Amino acid sequence: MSGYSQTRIATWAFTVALALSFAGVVVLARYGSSPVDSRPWLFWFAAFWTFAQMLLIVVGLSTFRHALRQGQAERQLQRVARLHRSILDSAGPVMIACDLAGHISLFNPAAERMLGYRASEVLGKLTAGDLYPEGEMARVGEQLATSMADARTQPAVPWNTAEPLLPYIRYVASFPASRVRGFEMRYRRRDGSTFPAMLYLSAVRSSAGSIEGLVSVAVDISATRRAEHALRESEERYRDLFENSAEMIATLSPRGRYLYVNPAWQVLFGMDSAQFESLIGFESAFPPEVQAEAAALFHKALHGVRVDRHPLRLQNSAGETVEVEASLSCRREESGPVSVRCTFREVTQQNRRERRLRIQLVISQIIAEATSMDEGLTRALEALCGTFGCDVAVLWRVDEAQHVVRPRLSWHARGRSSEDFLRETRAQVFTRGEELPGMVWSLGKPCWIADVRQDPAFIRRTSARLNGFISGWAVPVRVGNQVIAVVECFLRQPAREDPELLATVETVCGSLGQFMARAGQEARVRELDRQKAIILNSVADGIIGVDSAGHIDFVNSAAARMIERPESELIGHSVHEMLHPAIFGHHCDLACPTRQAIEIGESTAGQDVYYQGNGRSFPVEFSLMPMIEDSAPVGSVLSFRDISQRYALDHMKDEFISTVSHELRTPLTSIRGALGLLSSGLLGTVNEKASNLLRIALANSERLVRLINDILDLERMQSGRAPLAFRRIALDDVARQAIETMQPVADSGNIHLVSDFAPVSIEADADRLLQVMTNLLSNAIKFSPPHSMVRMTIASASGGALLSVFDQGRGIPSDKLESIFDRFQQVDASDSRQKGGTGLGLAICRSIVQQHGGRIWAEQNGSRGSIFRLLLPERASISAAGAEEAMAGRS
Amino acid sequence: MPHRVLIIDDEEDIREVAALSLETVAGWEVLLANSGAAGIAKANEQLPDAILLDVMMPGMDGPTTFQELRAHPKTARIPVILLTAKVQAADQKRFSDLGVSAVMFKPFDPLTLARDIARVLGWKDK
Repeated sequence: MSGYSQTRIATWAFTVALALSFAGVVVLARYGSSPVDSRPWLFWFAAFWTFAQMLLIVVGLSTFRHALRQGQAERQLQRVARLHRSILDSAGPVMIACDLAGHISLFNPAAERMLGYRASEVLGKLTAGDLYPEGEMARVGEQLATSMADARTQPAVPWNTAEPLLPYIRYVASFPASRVRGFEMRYRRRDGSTFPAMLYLSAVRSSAGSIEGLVSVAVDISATRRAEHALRESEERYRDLFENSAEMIATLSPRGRYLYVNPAWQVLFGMDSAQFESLIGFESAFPPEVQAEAAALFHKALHGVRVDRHPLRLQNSAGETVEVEASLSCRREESGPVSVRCTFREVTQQNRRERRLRIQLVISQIIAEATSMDEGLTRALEALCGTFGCDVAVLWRVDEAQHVVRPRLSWHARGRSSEDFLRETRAQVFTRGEELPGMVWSLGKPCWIADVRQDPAFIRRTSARLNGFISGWAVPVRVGNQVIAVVECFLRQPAREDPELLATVETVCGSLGQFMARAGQEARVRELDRQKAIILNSVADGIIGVDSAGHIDFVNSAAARMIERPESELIGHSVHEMLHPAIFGHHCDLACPTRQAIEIGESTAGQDVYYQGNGRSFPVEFSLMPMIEDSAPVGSVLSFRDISQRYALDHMKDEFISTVSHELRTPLTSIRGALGLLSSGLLGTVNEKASNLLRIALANSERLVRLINDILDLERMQSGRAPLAFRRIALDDVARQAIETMQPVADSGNIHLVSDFAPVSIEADADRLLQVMTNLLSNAIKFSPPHSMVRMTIASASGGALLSVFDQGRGIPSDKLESIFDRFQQVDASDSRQKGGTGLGLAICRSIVQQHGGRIWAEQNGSRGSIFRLLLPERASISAAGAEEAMAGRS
Repeated sequence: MPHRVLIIDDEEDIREVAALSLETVAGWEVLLANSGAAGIAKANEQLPDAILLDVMMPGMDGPTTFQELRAHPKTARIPVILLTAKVQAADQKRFSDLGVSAVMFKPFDPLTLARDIARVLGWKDK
């Protein structure tokens, strides 16, 4: 009964009571004065009225009180309802309630937000099924049904439950009201999109406890789902990494039990995860020889020390030796160590590579630092033994010429004696293919002997056994394709053939081969250098090597000695400055022959004066030869000799000649003077015979004089003491002069002198050429019969002049045409001396002509007579060679 | 008036031949001295027209004698001809640098000696 209706009842009750009261008052007023017994109904009316009034008041009051109480209760209810409302309104989760038919009776604001509906659109309008994707209700319903399949009894469901809700009702019915189980279900939004939610379903029960509806509280778990997915994915990734990692990974409990081993770990030890799980202790997986080490590492990690890349060497399940780097760390929480993680990284290959590089580096360094080939090779053998654990190494040298291989040097480790083995080795010489070195040489490949004591081909097995060697290997040392040496190494322990080791050593031996080849070449070069130095330092001449900049780069000991400066002072300095130092007041201009020679850089010879370190000068004869390499000048070689002695000698010779000349001339003066006067007849006549004798004596004394002059002349010319004075002359003028001089002689011999001169101008010494022409004419006239002709011609020839003297005399036999230009040569013993010749005339002519850079020769003049020809260049060019020849008097 | 020539030479034979040449061929008067010192004395005493002076002499050699002659005003103007067997080019230069009138070489042609002297000294007669 609602409070409202109760209030109405109360109001009615009071109204009626009021009406009755009024009625009573009226009755009383009307019939009050009459006594009660006259009118008995008044009594009953009064009684009724009183009773009714009392009843109505009681009813009214109690109803009023009820109403008040109800009001209070209602207000209380309303308050609670408001509280519940605000909870519903502010709650995060979706709260939806529906009745048994599925009509939605509650739709909180969170539901509005999540699903996109306004409550007004939903309440009473939509059913539960509208909120879920197609088929979702059925699917989840089945799931719930399945999960309840083992329930003992099917709970009773109200008869008016909508079909789709049946499984749900059953579900919530199967649990006590306080137990709420959540399950996943997808919701569908207004826009059709769906999202996963965690749904908590419970029953709305009547006061009797029967289910009247369902209420669901749901939370959007899409974010959670995503997070879970991501976590699973990342877990998956990590798992994937671990599972597929090449690194060996294991996780252990603090007690040392294996919690997880990745496949790589399993492969290393050759056990699967089940076997690992049965192990007790980290180290028990390892081979016995490394167990102690492994246990120690685990222990360390467990106590919080991080083990980082600890090198470990062990045999894997296949029996191969692997090298790993072990890293262990411990995961701790507040409660203490939780697990120990262990990672192994295989570094066998890497280590091998490093070893190979290291030994190569070591060998390269040894080679670079080696002062001698033997020292380098011995140290290399030592390094090889050290790296590969060998106890002795021997280097054998191939002798191609003798077709054998010989032991060259060895190295052995300290400790146990290798003496017997080495002694036997040193005594051996093997042919191609014989024993270990011979085989390696022949095959060109490394060889390995697992047990040298047993190998029948190993000749030295007895001494090997004696000194405790067990295994050995040998590697060829190559230069290009040729094996030039073999390196052998022996160990005192059994070693399996290791191709990797052999490959490494072969590479290293390549470097050794190059080193040996180079050392051989260097030795040869050094030997040549030494020989060169010996030669250069043995010559008496000073030799200075000059570079293209004119600086000294080589000085032999003779040069240093002559210049009286140490080699160190000379090298690197300008050669001209060293030889003509300005500080001694000797300033060279461009005409300085040495300077010119160096600057021009052409093959030159000459004389000069050089200065010693102390300022003393000495005369030198030098020659400069340019050095050409690949058609480019790279410097020059200056060689010189001290000619002060020669100067002294020359001076002495000059003195001697001067003296002799003087001494010879002095008595000749008297002789000639006396004979001349006697012969002239001025001192009286003599008889014919006497006159003849006087004539003979005079002629010969004159000849003697001429001879002395000629000797002096020739000597002076050949010693260079009579240098020619060149200037431009008209050769024909000089020739005319010669003709004029010889005219009287020709006339007296009845010789017809003819001349035919073309005007030719050349650079020459006129006096000397006059001497030559006069000499030739004199000869021609001398050897011509009377009334014959002597002809001199001058013609222009290739820029120069060709002078010819023709005579019709007795001629010169062809085999004498060359030799007549030699000293004291006559065609035959008879004529020229008779005719007063000295025998030096033509030699002097030749000397003069050569100094002009020309040529003189004789020809036969047809059938009768001779032709003497001179070819003179237009420009007197004295080459070093020409001057040399002139001085030597050879043509 | 015949020219008077003083011949200074340490070789007796040369003195004799030279003197004979000049006397016989040219008819000149010849004075003789056998050393530089004697020659200077004679020159001072006789004042000849020319002096024929040898170079290589013991004691005072030709050039020194020549210096002496030039040093004394009395003899300074007498023309001097060096007569020498030293025919080397270096010697010749040395001699001509002295300032002598001429340098002549031994051996000389006795028949032309006087003529050569006359030519060199610019004497007109033979």
